[in-house]
Amino acid sequence: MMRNVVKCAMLDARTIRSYLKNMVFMLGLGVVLSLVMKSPTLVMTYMVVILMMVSTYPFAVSESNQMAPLYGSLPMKRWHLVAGRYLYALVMGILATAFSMVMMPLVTRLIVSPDAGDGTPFALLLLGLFLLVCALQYPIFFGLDYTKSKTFGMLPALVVFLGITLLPGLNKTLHLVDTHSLLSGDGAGGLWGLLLGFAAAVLVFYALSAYISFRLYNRRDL
Amino acid sequence: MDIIISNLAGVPIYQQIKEQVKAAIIAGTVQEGEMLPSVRQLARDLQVSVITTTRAYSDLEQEGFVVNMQGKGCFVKPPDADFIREQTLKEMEGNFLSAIQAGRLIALGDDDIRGMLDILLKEEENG
Amino acid sequence: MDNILSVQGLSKHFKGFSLTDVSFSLPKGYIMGFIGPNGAGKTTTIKLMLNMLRRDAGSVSMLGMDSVVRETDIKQRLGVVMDQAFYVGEWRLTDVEKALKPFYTKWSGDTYANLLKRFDLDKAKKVKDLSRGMKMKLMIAAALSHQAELLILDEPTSGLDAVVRDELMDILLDFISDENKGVLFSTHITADLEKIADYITFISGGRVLMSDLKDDLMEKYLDVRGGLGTLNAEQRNALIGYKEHSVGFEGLVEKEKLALLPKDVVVQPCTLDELVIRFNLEGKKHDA
Repeated sequence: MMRNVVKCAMLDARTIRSYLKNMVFMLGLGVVLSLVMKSPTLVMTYMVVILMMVSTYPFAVSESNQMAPLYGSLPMKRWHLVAGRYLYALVMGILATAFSMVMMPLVTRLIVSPDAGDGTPFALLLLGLFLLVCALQYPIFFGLDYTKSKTFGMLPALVVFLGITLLPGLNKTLHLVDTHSLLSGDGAGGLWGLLLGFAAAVLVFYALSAYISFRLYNRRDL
Repeated sequence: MDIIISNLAGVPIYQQIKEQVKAAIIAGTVQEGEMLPSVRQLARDLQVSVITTTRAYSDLEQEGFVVNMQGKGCFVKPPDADFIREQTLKEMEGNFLSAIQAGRLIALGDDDIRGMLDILLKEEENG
Repeated sequence: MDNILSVQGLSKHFKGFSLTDVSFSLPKGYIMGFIGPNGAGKTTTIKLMLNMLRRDAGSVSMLGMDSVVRETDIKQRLGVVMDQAFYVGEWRLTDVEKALKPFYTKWSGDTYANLLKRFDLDKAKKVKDLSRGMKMKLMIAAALSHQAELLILDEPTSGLDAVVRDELMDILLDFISDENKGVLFSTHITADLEKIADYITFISGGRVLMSDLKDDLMEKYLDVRGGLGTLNAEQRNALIGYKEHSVGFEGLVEKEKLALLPKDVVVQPCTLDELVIRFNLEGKKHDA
């Protein structure tokens, strides 16, 4: 049964395979840009943007190819599909993060910029943010068809991030965590503790989102 | 044995199959004890439904020409002359009755009907 | 006789259309044609069977199992073909296998390869580059490659020429030579079914009008035509889908009611098309 979830994630990967070339190309573009702009962190931020696009590819491709009957005829249950897609997004995120964590030091070495350091905390933070955005987006995409989700998909994420930036208290805490110390990785153990807490919160949120998506998707006529 | 059906004949397909198999048996084209094609094989070859071929074969069994053995197939029976005669007489009776009923619908009398029978018999002799 | 498929009291309400109390059964070893005008509810019924739509009422049993409780077990042994290919257009035929194979315990790569060869499909080609007929054959190849016992086809032949349709008939008859298998075939091209269907379920306006052996249905109704003014009111009412035009009338009549009609009408066997047309007409009369 759990294996079916993995199979669904693989199906999603195969579904978007021809578009993966796009993603790799754009990641490469990101590396080039960061070299040009002399900013290693650009690789990472670029990566997150690409990830956010890629995370909705399965919805887009399956709708434009009218694959609903395929999902309807394969021996799987709806929750396999939902969980599989969340797994797909997670794996995509990890792969892209790993890629940029390799690229960043390379770029840094090439530019010899003051922003040295392995930047792992920053990468993981960005991964967490990506998963958060996914968790906010996916329920919309699972609940509505793709044409509607395209318009409204970013809404929850926008609301959350607007909220974060507007809330005064939260803003102050975030300012304490400045990019420099994140990149240099020489922050105190407290920084790592914060990150770990953040990671746990993200995973909980991710799982909760999966449950909500399942409930929404299960009620739909396809 | 050849079976050639016509979709436009107006005669139900199961009947066409039945008649042709019967004719083949009587003519000796198929020997007694020989196995006929399975209902599904026949359906596939003639591009008709399985129910149609099944019906043809079960009618043939009822009329004493073949025996259907579960799991084995459909085999030609040695001709039982009396049984065949009885079945054929029954069939003729049924046909005659239909003809008479049809004639009554257009208000034919006994003489009209007998007259028609005579004409047809004469035609058959000559032609 | 075991039923390979049994639908009981299936209902689904949409804004402009309702499927009401749809019931029919198909015994093992036979082909059922699912006919009716466009929009009658054929695709809706099939989607309900596949749990693509949520039902309001009713139950579906396939291969002796409940379609909700044992959904995945059923689908291991189920083959589905739709009127449009439901694969990614960019996939090559080999990619299709790579995508499907992991899900099926009984997938046979040899069978798939042989079927592609038999259907003259180049496995290096992409799905989007296949013609309509080839796409249909691709779906069949996939459906037959995991030892499916029940085939469900929803309008597989719309837009296809007679040659491809004939090929499909051969494939289905071949499939059904195993008496443990079954086929449900929905279509509005009834010519194909007239030949090979064992059972017919006729659906219209979201309701099952009749579900019977095809041979029985074709014998039960007769096509009647005649001159204007031949029939009195009672006789006109006995006809189904009575229609007058400038040089005569047409309609269907139940065999038993033939005696009611005058003797100078032209009577001939009815086709499935006539059945659909006349009953549709009759239905409209009652709606009006």
